[in-house]
Amino acid sequence: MSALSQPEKAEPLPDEPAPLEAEAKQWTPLVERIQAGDDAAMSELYVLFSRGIRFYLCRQLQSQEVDDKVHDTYVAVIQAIKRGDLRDPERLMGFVRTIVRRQVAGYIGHAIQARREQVDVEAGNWVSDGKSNPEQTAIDQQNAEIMRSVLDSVSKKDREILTRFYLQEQTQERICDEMDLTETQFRLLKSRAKARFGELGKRRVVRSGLSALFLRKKGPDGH
Amino acid sequence: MDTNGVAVPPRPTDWQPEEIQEMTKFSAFTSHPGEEILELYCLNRLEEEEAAGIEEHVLLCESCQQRIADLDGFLKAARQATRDLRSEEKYSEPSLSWAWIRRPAWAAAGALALLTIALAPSLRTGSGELQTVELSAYRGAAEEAGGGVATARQPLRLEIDLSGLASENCCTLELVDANGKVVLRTTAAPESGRAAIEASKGLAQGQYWLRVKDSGGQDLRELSLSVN
Repeated sequence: MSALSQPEKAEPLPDEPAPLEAEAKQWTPLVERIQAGDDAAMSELYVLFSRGIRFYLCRQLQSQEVDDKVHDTYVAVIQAIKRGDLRDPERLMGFVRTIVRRQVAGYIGHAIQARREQVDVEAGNWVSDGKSNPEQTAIDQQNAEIMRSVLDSVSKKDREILTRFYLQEQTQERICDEMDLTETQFRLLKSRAKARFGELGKRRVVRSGLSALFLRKKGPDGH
Repeated sequence: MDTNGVAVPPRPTDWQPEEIQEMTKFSAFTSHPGEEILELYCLNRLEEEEAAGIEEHVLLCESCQQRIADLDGFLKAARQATRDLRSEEKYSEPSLSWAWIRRPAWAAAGALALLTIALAPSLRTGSGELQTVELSAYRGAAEEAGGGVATARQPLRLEIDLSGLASENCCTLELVDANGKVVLRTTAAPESGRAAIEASKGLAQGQYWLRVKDSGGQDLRELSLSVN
Protein backbone atom coordinates (compact mmCIF):
# COMPACT_ATOMS: atom_id res chain seq x y z
CA MET A 1 0.00 0.00 0.00
CA SER A 2 1.21 3.43 -0.80
CA ALA A 3 2.61 5.34 2.10
CA LEU A 4 0.59 8.27 0.90
CA SER A 5 -2.71 6.68 1.69
CA GLN A 6 -2.50 6.97 5.46
CA PRO A 7 -1.52 10.39 6.71
CA GLU A 8 0.52 10.46 9.86
CA LYS A 9 1.50 13.20 12.17
CA ALA A 10 4.64 15.01 11.13
CA GLU A 11 7.76 14.21 13.08
CA PRO A 12 8.00 16.50 16.10
CA LEU A 13 10.91 18.80 16.56
CA PRO A 14 13.37 18.10 19.37
CA ASP A 15 11.93 18.74 22.80
CA GLU A 16 14.89 20.54 24.17
CA PRO A 17 14.90 24.29 23.78
CA ALA A 18 17.02 26.05 21.23
CA PRO A 19 20.07 27.80 22.59
CA LEU A 20 18.10 30.93 23.27
CA GLU A 21 20.40 31.82 26.08
CA ALA A 22 23.16 32.10 23.49
CA GLU A 23 20.96 34.09 21.16
CA ALA A 24 19.99 36.41 23.96
CA LYS A 25 23.56 36.60 25.14
CA GLN A 26 25.08 39.99 24.97
CA TRP A 27 28.17 39.51 22.88
CA THR A 28 29.51 43.04 23.22
CA PRO A 29 31.05 42.60 26.71
CA LEU A 30 32.74 39.37 25.65
CA VAL A 31 34.10 40.94 22.47
CA GLU A 32 35.38 43.96 24.40
CA ARG A 33 37.12 41.73 26.93
CA ILE A 34 38.80 39.80 24.13
CA GLN A 35 39.92 43.02 22.53
CA ALA A 36 41.36 44.02 25.91
CA GLY A 37 43.38 40.78 26.00
CA ASP A 38 41.38 39.02 28.73
CA ASP A 39 42.45 35.35 28.73
CA ALA A 40 39.27 34.23 30.48
CA ALA A 41 37.17 35.80 27.73
CA MET A 42 39.18 33.97 25.09
CA SER A 43 38.63 30.70 26.93
CA GLU A 44 34.94 31.45 27.13
CA LEU A 45 34.80 31.99 23.39
CA TYR A 46 36.62 28.71 22.83
CA VAL A 47 34.20 26.78 25.04
CA LEU A 48 31.23 28.34 23.28
CA PHE A 49 32.27 27.80 19.69
CA SER A 50 34.89 25.03 19.50
CA ARG A 51 32.35 22.22 19.26
CA GLY A 52 30.37 23.97 16.54
CA ILE A 53 33.53 24.85 14.65
CA ARG A 54 34.66 21.23 14.88
CA PHE A 55 31.32 20.01 13.60
CA TYR A 56 31.40 22.41 10.65
CA LEU A 57 34.98 21.51 9.73
CA CYS A 58 34.35 17.76 10.00
CA ARG A 59 31.31 18.04 7.79
CA GLN A 60 32.84 20.27 5.16
CA LEU A 61 36.25 18.61 5.01
CA GLN A 62 34.92 15.04 5.36
CA SER A 63 37.50 14.30 8.01
CA GLN A 64 37.52 13.65 11.74
CA GLU A 65 41.10 14.81 12.13
CA VAL A 66 40.53 18.50 12.50
CA ASP A 67 42.01 19.33 15.90
CA ASP A 68 44.69 21.57 14.45
CA LYS A 69 42.20 23.25 12.15
CA VAL A 70 39.81 23.96 15.02
CA HIS A 71 42.67 25.61 16.85
CA ASP A 72 43.76 27.57 13.78
CA THR A 73 40.22 28.78 13.23
CA TYR A 74 39.91 29.81 16.86
CA VAL A 75 43.16 31.76 16.61
CA ALA A 76 41.97 33.42 13.42
CA VAL A 77 38.73 34.49 15.12
CA ILE A 78 40.57 35.91 18.13
CA GLN A 79 43.03 37.80 15.95
CA ALA A 80 40.27 39.20 13.77
CA ILE A 81 38.38 40.42 16.84
CA LYS A 82 41.52 42.01 18.22
CA ARG A 83 42.16 43.74 14.92
CA GLY A 84 38.70 45.23 15.13
CA ASP A 85 37.35 43.45 12.06
CA LEU A 86 34.11 42.76 13.94
CA ARG A 87 32.36 46.09 13.85
CA ASP A 88 29.08 44.98 15.40
CA PRO A 89 29.91 42.72 18.37
CA GLU A 90 26.32 41.47 18.52
CA ARG A 91 26.95 39.79 15.20
CA LEU A 92 29.66 37.59 16.69
CA MET A 93 28.01 34.32 15.65
CA GLY A 94 27.81 35.39 12.02
CA PHE A 95 31.35 36.63 12.22
CA VAL A 96 32.62 33.29 13.53
CA ARG A 97 30.67 31.45 10.86
CA THR A 98 32.15 33.59 8.11
CA ILE A 99 35.69 33.00 9.33
CA VAL A 100 35.09 29.26 9.55
CA ARG A 101 33.81 29.27 5.98
CA ARG A 102 36.88 31.17 4.87
CA GLN A 103 39.12 28.71 6.63
CA VAL A 104 37.37 25.78 4.97
CA ALA A 105 37.70 27.41 1.55
CA GLY A 106 41.39 27.96 2.26
CA TYR A 107 42.00 24.36 3.30
CA ILE A 108 40.20 23.00 0.27
CA GLY A 109 42.14 25.34 -2.01
CA HIS A 110 45.43 24.25 -0.46
CA ALA A 111 44.50 20.58 -0.77
CA ILE A 112 43.63 20.99 -4.45
CA GLN A 113 46.87 22.82 -5.12
CA ALA A 114 48.92 20.26 -3.21
CA ARG A 115 47.30 17.43 -5.12
CA ARG A 116 48.01 19.12 -8.43
CA GLU A 117 51.64 19.67 -7.54
CA GLN A 118 52.03 16.11 -6.34
CA VAL A 119 50.66 14.79 -9.61
CA ASP A 120 52.81 17.14 -11.69
CA VAL A 121 56.07 16.41 -9.91
CA GLU A 122 55.66 12.76 -9.15
CA ALA A 123 53.21 11.41 -11.66
CA GLY A 124 51.99 7.98 -10.67
CA ASN A 125 52.42 8.48 -6.95
CA TRP A 126 49.51 7.84 -4.68
CA VAL A 127 47.09 10.68 -4.32
CA SER A 128 44.13 10.53 -2.00
CA ASP A 129 41.00 9.56 -3.88
CA GLY A 130 38.77 11.19 -1.30
CA LYS A 131 37.02 7.94 -0.46
CA SER A 132 35.87 7.17 3.05
CA ASN A 133 37.87 4.94 5.34
CA PRO A 134 36.93 1.24 5.45
CA GLU A 135 34.89 1.67 8.61
CA GLN A 136 32.88 4.52 7.16
CA THR A 137 32.49 2.63 3.89
CA ALA A 138 31.04 -0.32 5.80
CA ILE A 139 28.64 1.95 7.65
CA ASP A 140 27.60 3.63 4.40
CA GLN A 141 27.03 0.25 2.78
CA GLN A 142 24.88 -0.91 5.68
CA ASN A 143 22.90 2.31 5.63
CA ALA A 144 22.33 1.94 1.88
CA GLU A 145 21.07 -1.60 2.44
CA ILE A 146 18.70 -0.40 5.12
CA MET A 147 17.47 2.33 2.79
CA ARG A 148 17.02 -0.27 0.11
CA SER A 149 14.79 -2.24 2.46
CA VAL A 150 12.80 0.93 3.03
CA LEU A 151 12.43 1.45 -0.73
CA ASP A 152 11.42 -2.15 -1.21
CA SER A 153 8.66 -1.75 1.35
CA VAL A 154 6.93 1.17 -0.36
CA SER A 155 4.93 1.37 -3.57
CA LYS A 156 6.47 1.97 -6.97
CA LYS A 157 5.01 5.46 -7.01
CA ASP A 158 6.52 6.30 -3.65
CA ARG A 159 9.88 4.98 -4.80
CA GLU A 160 9.71 7.24 -7.80
CA ILE A 161 8.93 10.23 -5.61
CA LEU A 162 11.89 9.53 -3.35
CA THR A 163 14.15 8.90 -6.33
CA ARG A 164 13.14 12.16 -7.96
CA PHE A 165 13.81 14.14 -4.82
CA TYR A 166 16.95 12.51 -3.45
CA LEU A 167 18.70 11.29 -6.57
CA GLN A 168 17.50 13.48 -9.41
CA GLU A 169 17.35 16.52 -7.14
CA GLN A 170 14.01 17.65 -8.46
CA THR A 171 12.21 20.28 -6.42
CA GLN A 172 9.26 19.51 -4.22
CA GLU A 173 7.10 21.82 -6.33
CA ARG A 174 7.90 20.01 -9.55
CA ILE A 175 7.39 16.55 -8.07
CA CYS A 176 4.08 17.50 -6.49
CA ASP A 177 2.93 19.08 -9.71
CA GLU A 178 3.91 16.22 -12.00
CA MET A 179 2.79 13.45 -9.68
CA ASP A 180 -0.38 15.06 -8.45
CA LEU A 181 0.60 15.27 -4.80
CA THR A 182 -0.16 17.73 -2.09
CA GLU A 183 2.67 19.25 -0.11
CA THR A 184 1.49 17.36 2.96
CA GLN A 185 1.51 14.01 1.17
CA PHE A 186 5.00 14.68 -0.09
CA ARG A 187 6.29 15.56 3.37
CA LEU A 188 4.60 12.59 4.97
CA LEU A 189 6.20 10.21 2.54
CA LYS A 190 9.65 11.58 3.29
CA SER A 191 8.95 11.64 7.00
CA ARG A 192 7.87 8.00 6.96
CA ALA A 193 10.86 6.93 4.94
CA LYS A 194 13.16 8.60 7.46
CA ALA A 195 11.31 7.10 10.41
CA ARG A 196 11.46 3.63 8.85
CA PHE A 197 15.15 4.11 8.08
CA GLY A 198 15.85 5.05 11.69
CA GLU A 199 13.78 2.18 13.01
CA LEU A 200 15.47 -0.45 10.84
CA GLY A 201 18.86 1.02 11.63
CA LYS A 202 18.30 0.73 15.36
CA ARG A 203 16.97 -2.80 15.03
CA ARG A 204 19.97 -3.77 12.99
CA VAL A 205 22.41 -2.35 15.49
CA VAL A 206 20.82 -4.36 18.26
CA ARG A 207 20.79 -7.56 16.22
CA SER A 208 24.21 -7.50 14.68
CA GLY A 209 26.05 -6.07 17.64
CA LEU A 210 27.50 -3.24 15.63
CA SER A 211 26.94 -0.77 18.43
CA ALA A 212 30.63 -0.06 18.58
CA LEU A 213 30.71 1.14 14.99
CA PHE A 214 27.76 3.44 15.49
CA LEU A 215 29.11 4.71 18.76
CA ARG A 216 32.27 5.63 16.99
CA LYS A 217 30.29 7.27 14.23
CA LYS A 218 28.36 9.33 16.73
CA GLY A 219 31.00 9.91 19.31
CA PRO A 220 30.98 12.27 22.24
CA ASP A 221 31.42 15.21 19.96
CA GLY A 222 28.22 14.38 18.15
CA HIS A 223 29.55 13.31 14.76
CA MET B 1 47.22 35.76 23.30
CA ASP B 2 48.96 32.42 23.66
CA THR B 3 48.74 30.47 20.42
CA ASN B 4 50.71 27.52 21.81
CA GLY B 5 53.11 27.79 18.94
CA VAL B 6 50.53 26.79 16.35
CA ALA B 7 51.01 28.58 13.09
CA VAL B 8 48.24 30.97 12.29
CA PRO B 9 46.77 30.46 8.81
CA PRO B 10 47.61 33.30 6.46
CA ARG B 11 44.87 35.80 6.03
CA PRO B 12 43.37 35.52 2.57
CA THR B 13 44.28 38.52 0.48
CA ASP B 14 40.70 38.99 -0.67
CA TRP B 15 39.32 38.98 2.84
CA GLN B 16 37.98 42.46 3.35
CA PRO B 17 36.38 43.49 6.66
CA GLU B 18 33.58 45.22 4.76
CA GLU B 19 32.75 41.96 3.09
CA ILE B 20 32.63 40.18 6.41
CA GLN B 21 30.26 42.78 7.78
CA GLU B 22 28.03 42.27 4.77
CA MET B 23 28.09 38.49 5.03
CA THR B 24 27.31 38.48 8.73
CA LYS B 25 24.30 40.71 8.65
CA PHE B 26 21.85 37.79 8.84
CA SER B 27 20.48 36.74 12.16
CA ALA B 28 20.57 33.20 13.51
CA PHE B 29 17.53 31.05 14.24
CA THR B 30 16.10 31.80 17.63
CA SER B 31 14.51 28.33 17.69
CA HIS B 32 15.45 24.99 16.15
CA PRO B 33 15.03 24.96 12.38
CA GLY B 34 12.27 22.64 11.15
CA GLU B 35 12.95 19.27 9.57
CA GLU B 36 12.16 20.43 6.05
CA ILE B 37 14.48 23.42 6.05
CA LEU B 38 17.22 21.41 7.72
CA GLU B 39 16.92 18.78 5.03
CA LEU B 40 17.12 21.43 2.31
CA TYR B 41 20.21 22.78 4.04
CA CYS B 42 21.81 19.33 3.98
CA LEU B 43 20.91 19.07 0.30
CA ASN B 44 22.54 22.46 -0.38
CA ARG B 45 19.28 23.79 -1.74
CA LEU B 46 18.95 26.88 0.44
CA GLU B 47 19.72 30.44 -0.45
CA GLU B 48 22.82 31.88 1.16
CA GLU B 49 20.81 33.93 3.63
CA GLU B 50 18.82 30.92 4.86
CA ALA B 51 21.92 28.72 5.06
CA ALA B 52 23.74 31.40 7.04
CA GLY B 53 20.97 31.50 9.62
CA ILE B 54 21.09 27.74 10.08
CA GLU B 55 24.87 27.62 10.29
CA GLU B 56 24.95 30.31 12.94
CA HIS B 57 22.39 28.41 14.95
CA VAL B 58 24.24 25.13 14.52
CA LEU B 59 27.49 26.68 15.72
CA LEU B 60 25.98 26.70 19.20
CA CYS B 61 23.25 24.04 19.06
CA GLU B 62 24.43 20.50 19.74
CA SER B 63 21.07 18.87 19.14
CA CYS B 64 20.88 20.38 15.65
CA GLN B 65 24.44 19.23 14.98
CA GLN B 66 23.23 15.71 15.71
CA ARG B 67 20.13 16.20 13.56
CA ILE B 68 22.29 17.30 10.64
CA ALA B 69 24.63 14.33 11.13
CA ASP B 70 21.64 11.98 11.09
CA LEU B 71 20.16 13.67 8.04
CA ASP B 72 23.48 13.50 6.20
CA GLY B 73 23.57 9.76 6.85
CA PHE B 74 20.03 9.31 5.64
CA LEU B 75 20.58 11.39 2.49
CA LYS B 76 23.74 9.53 1.59
CA ALA B 77 21.94 6.21 1.99
CA ALA B 78 18.92 7.47 0.04
CA ARG B 79 21.08 8.59 -2.88
CA GLN B 80 22.99 5.32 -2.95
CA ALA B 81 19.90 3.12 -2.65
CA THR B 82 17.89 5.00 -5.27
CA ARG B 83 20.89 4.97 -7.61
CA ASP B 84 21.28 1.21 -7.17
CA LEU B 85 17.59 0.73 -7.72
CA ARG B 86 17.60 2.67 -10.96
CA SER B 87 20.61 0.89 -12.36
CA GLU B 88 19.10 -2.48 -11.53
CA GLU B 89 15.83 -1.54 -13.16
CA LYS B 90 17.72 -0.57 -16.28
CA TYR B 91 19.78 -3.74 -16.29
CA SER B 92 17.05 -6.28 -15.75
CA GLU B 93 13.59 -6.73 -14.34
CA PRO B 94 13.83 -9.32 -11.58
CA SER B 95 10.46 -10.91 -11.06
CA LEU B 96 9.09 -12.91 -8.22
CA SER B 97 6.18 -15.21 -8.74
CA TRP B 98 4.21 -16.95 -6.06
CA ALA B 99 1.02 -17.70 -7.90
CA TRP B 100 2.36 -20.86 -9.51
CA ILE B 101 2.86 -22.56 -6.17
CA ARG B 102 -0.75 -21.95 -5.16
CA ARG B 103 -2.18 -23.62 -8.25
CA PRO B 104 -2.04 -27.41 -8.16
CA ALA B 105 -1.32 -27.85 -11.87
CA TRP B 106 1.48 -25.37 -11.87
CA ALA B 107 2.79 -26.71 -8.58
CA ALA B 108 2.93 -30.18 -10.10
CA ALA B 109 4.67 -28.83 -13.17
CA GLY B 110 7.11 -26.97 -11.01
CA ALA B 111 7.83 -30.04 -8.96
CA LEU B 112 8.37 -32.04 -12.16
CA ALA B 113 10.74 -29.41 -13.44
CA LEU B 114 12.67 -29.47 -10.20
CA LEU B 115 12.81 -33.24 -10.29
CA THR B 116 14.08 -33.17 -13.83
CA ILE B 117 16.79 -30.73 -12.94
CA ALA B 118 17.73 -32.63 -9.82
CA LEU B 119 18.00 -35.97 -11.64
CA ALA B 120 19.50 -34.84 -14.90
CA PRO B 121 21.47 -31.63 -14.66
CA SER B 122 22.99 -32.34 -18.04
CA LEU B 123 19.57 -31.92 -19.63
CA ARG B 124 19.57 -28.20 -19.06
CA THR B 125 17.84 -26.28 -21.75
CA GLY B 126 19.68 -24.83 -24.68
CA SER B 127 20.77 -21.26 -25.08
CA GLY B 128 17.89 -18.78 -24.93
CA GLU B 129 15.53 -21.05 -23.05
CA LEU B 130 14.71 -20.61 -19.41
CA GLN B 131 16.71 -22.79 -17.06
CA THR B 132 15.46 -23.43 -13.56
CA VAL B 133 17.81 -24.14 -10.70
CA GLU B 134 16.85 -24.93 -7.15
CA LEU B 135 19.23 -23.64 -4.56
CA SER B 136 19.63 -25.67 -1.42
CA ALA B 137 23.36 -25.81 -0.66
CA TYR B 138 24.15 -23.48 2.19
CA ARG B 139 27.44 -21.73 2.50
CA GLY B 140 29.71 -23.74 4.74
CA ALA B 141 29.81 -27.50 5.14
CA ALA B 142 26.91 -28.23 2.82
CA GLU B 143 28.49 -26.17 0.10
CA GLU B 144 31.01 -28.89 -0.57
CA ALA B 145 28.20 -31.26 -1.41
CA GLY B 146 27.53 -29.12 -4.47
CA GLY B 147 25.55 -25.92 -4.89
CA GLY B 148 23.29 -24.95 -7.71
CA VAL B 149 24.80 -24.95 -11.18
CA ALA B 150 23.60 -22.90 -14.13
CA THR B 151 24.68 -22.10 -17.66
CA ALA B 152 26.07 -18.66 -18.36
CA ARG B 153 24.20 -16.12 -20.50
CA GLN B 154 21.00 -18.09 -20.49
CA PRO B 155 17.72 -16.96 -18.91
CA LEU B 156 17.68 -18.27 -15.39
CA ARG B 157 15.12 -18.93 -12.73
CA LEU B 158 16.34 -19.62 -9.22
CA GLU B 159 14.05 -21.29 -6.74
CA ILE B 160 14.64 -21.11 -3.03
CA ASP B 161 13.23 -22.92 -0.04
CA LEU B 162 12.15 -20.43 2.61
CA SER B 163 10.54 -22.86 5.00
CA GLY B 164 11.28 -22.20 8.64
CA LEU B 165 11.61 -18.45 8.27
CA ALA B 166 9.43 -16.18 10.36
CA SER B 167 6.99 -14.26 8.23
CA GLU B 168 7.21 -10.96 10.05
CA ASN B 169 10.79 -10.29 9.03
CA CYS B 170 10.95 -11.89 5.63
CA CYS B 171 12.56 -11.30 3.14
CA THR B 172 14.77 -9.66 0.62
CA LEU B 173 16.55 -11.90 -1.86
CA GLU B 174 19.89 -10.71 -3.12
CA LEU B 175 22.05 -12.42 -5.69
CA VAL B 176 25.64 -11.26 -5.34
CA ASP B 177 28.68 -12.12 -7.39
CA ALA B 178 32.02 -13.31 -6.04
CA ASN B 179 32.98 -9.73 -5.23
CA GLY B 180 29.86 -9.16 -3.20
CA LYS B 181 28.27 -6.92 -5.82
CA VAL B 182 24.50 -7.18 -5.92
CA VAL B 183 23.36 -8.47 -9.31
CA LEU B 184 19.68 -9.00 -8.61
CA ARG B 185 17.46 -8.06 -5.74
CA THR B 186 13.81 -8.59 -4.99
CA THR B 187 11.48 -9.09 -2.06
CA ALA B 188 9.59 -12.21 -1.03
CA ALA B 189 7.02 -13.42 1.45
CA PRO B 190 7.59 -16.81 3.04
CA GLU B 191 3.99 -17.94 3.46
CA SER B 192 4.17 -20.69 0.88
CA GLY B 193 7.66 -21.70 1.85
CA ARG B 194 9.26 -21.01 -1.51
CA ALA B 195 10.37 -18.08 -3.65
CA ALA B 196 11.81 -17.62 -7.10
CA ILE B 197 13.92 -14.96 -8.73
CA GLU B 198 14.61 -14.64 -12.44
CA ALA B 199 17.48 -13.22 -14.42
CA SER B 200 15.92 -12.73 -17.83
CA LYS B 201 19.25 -12.23 -19.56
CA GLY B 202 21.07 -14.86 -17.58
CA LEU B 203 24.30 -14.38 -15.68
CA ALA B 204 27.95 -14.12 -16.56
CA GLN B 205 30.22 -17.02 -15.70
CA GLY B 206 31.35 -17.14 -12.08
CA GLN B 207 30.46 -17.90 -8.50
CA TYR B 208 27.35 -16.29 -7.02
CA TRP B 209 25.61 -16.28 -3.68
CA LEU B 210 21.94 -15.87 -3.07
CA ARG B 211 21.33 -14.14 0.23
CA VAL B 212 18.03 -14.22 2.04
CA LYS B 213 17.82 -11.19 4.29
CA ASP B 214 15.26 -10.08 6.81
CA SER B 215 13.59 -6.69 6.76
CA GLY B 216 16.44 -5.27 8.79
CA GLY B 217 18.99 -6.39 6.21
CA GLN B 218 20.33 -9.21 8.35
CA ASP B 219 21.41 -12.35 6.50
CA LEU B 220 19.14 -15.30 7.18
CA ARG B 221 20.46 -17.74 4.60
CA GLU B 222 23.13 -17.80 1.96
CA LEU B 223 23.05 -20.24 -0.92
CA SER B 224 25.66 -21.13 -3.48
CA LEU B 225 25.33 -20.87 -7.26
CA SER B 226 27.98 -21.64 -9.87
CA VAL B 227 27.51 -20.33 -13.39
CA ASN B 228 29.60 -22.06 -16.04
